[in-house]
Amino acid sequence: MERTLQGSPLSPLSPRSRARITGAVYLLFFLTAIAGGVVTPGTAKEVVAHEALFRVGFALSLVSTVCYVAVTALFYQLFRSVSRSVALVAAFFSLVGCAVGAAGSLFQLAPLVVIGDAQYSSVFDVTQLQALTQMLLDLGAQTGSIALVFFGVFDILIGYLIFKSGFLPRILGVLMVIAGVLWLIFLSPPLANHFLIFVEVPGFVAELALMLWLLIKGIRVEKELGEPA
Amino acid sequence: MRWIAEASPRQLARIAGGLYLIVILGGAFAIGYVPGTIVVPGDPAATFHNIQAHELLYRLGLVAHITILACNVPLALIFWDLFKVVNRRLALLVVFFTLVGTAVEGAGLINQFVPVVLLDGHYSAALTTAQLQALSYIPIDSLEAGYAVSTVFFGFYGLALGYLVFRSTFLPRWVGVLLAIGAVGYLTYGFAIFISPGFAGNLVPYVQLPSLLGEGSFCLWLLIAGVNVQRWKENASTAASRLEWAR
Repeated sequence: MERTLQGSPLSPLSPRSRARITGAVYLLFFLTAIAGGVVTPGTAKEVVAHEALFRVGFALSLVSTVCYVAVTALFYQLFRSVSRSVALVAAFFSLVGCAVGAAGSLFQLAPLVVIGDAQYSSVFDVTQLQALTQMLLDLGAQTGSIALVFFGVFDILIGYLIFKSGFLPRILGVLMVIAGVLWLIFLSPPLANHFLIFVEVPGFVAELALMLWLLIKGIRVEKELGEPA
Repeated sequence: MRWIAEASPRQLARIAGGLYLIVILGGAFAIGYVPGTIVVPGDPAATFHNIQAHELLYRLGLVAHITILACNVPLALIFWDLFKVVNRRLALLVVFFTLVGTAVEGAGLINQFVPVVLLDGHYSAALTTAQLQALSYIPIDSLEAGYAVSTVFFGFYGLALGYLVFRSTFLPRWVGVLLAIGAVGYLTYGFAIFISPGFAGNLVPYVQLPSLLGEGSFCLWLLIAGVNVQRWKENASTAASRLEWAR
């Protein structure tokens, strides 16, 4: 055989370094998602006033979705030894959430096309254009709520896998399940927006704790089983 | 369907090459030729008129687009089968990026249905012709930015795929390098559209050449040469012993 197992650049990483890589990509997701969320204006007027910021925020949010796709793949690898089928279902929920979220971001791009273009301002008056822009932004936000429901199920399943795993603290699993259940409130966006802080804070805490644990502590190696095919 | 389940790596590679060829040719028609013929940049009235006059061509573009998106799904599965022997984690990432990119691109197609819906006459009582034309032009105007969203996912797909091809030993390394260069082109163009559309306009068409070269050579290599089965099997047995070792 041409390549020896240990000498190959593709030799298996230790489970602990795999967990660290997952934590690092997860951290990148956090940073880009928070930065994107902070700088992205929410109303048509703000978009007009801070177009450059809006564009950078859009790009950052998209990068955060890309990171989440990678986190999804890494979670599947991490947890398939616990339950292959649950890990796969979790991954699929997350992928659908990522796709819905990214598709919803298309609504955010349309305002940039609409505002400040003579071909639209000549047929619609300013208030009509602003209303149109606001409608597109609101539709984008609605799509975000749909994505959150899928991420809620993802969090619940990941929480279950953590709880069962034996190689991560059970409390992290419990936190993820609670966070996931709360995200499900976005089934009714008005309700969720009413209690927004109570939904977002546990979600943030649970994912932050999991991310930091993976990044800093990794996983308990002796408990992680090999990888079934 | 039994022949698919039992297909050899070489047959899988040939099927993938065929699907990829459909994707490239269909993409050139749906994303290049049809909008190039119908859309008049900056002129909603002329664009609206062209869609009315060439509705069949416009709809054929949509058919081609949906077809290539449908081809992406089995393509992802075949790439998983071919490349999981090289690196499972990256092969999974290739599949996931393909699925999300395809879903986003498919959702974006709704944009292109807006003009045909607005054309059917139900709306002319409430809106003036100029307003209808402007409303149909918004989605057309947003198309490029919409593609850019899926382009970002396909850019990362290309990087992962390029690395897998480069490492594979059963496909030529230069094809992997070309795929990765093409992916960098995709990412550059995608992010340029978000951050500075004017700059992105200057990049066309040069930025599209590397991806055509990369994906074109990959597609033709799979279709004509397939994969080196001997090397693929060596990879597979290494991967199997690695799994054994990890256990």
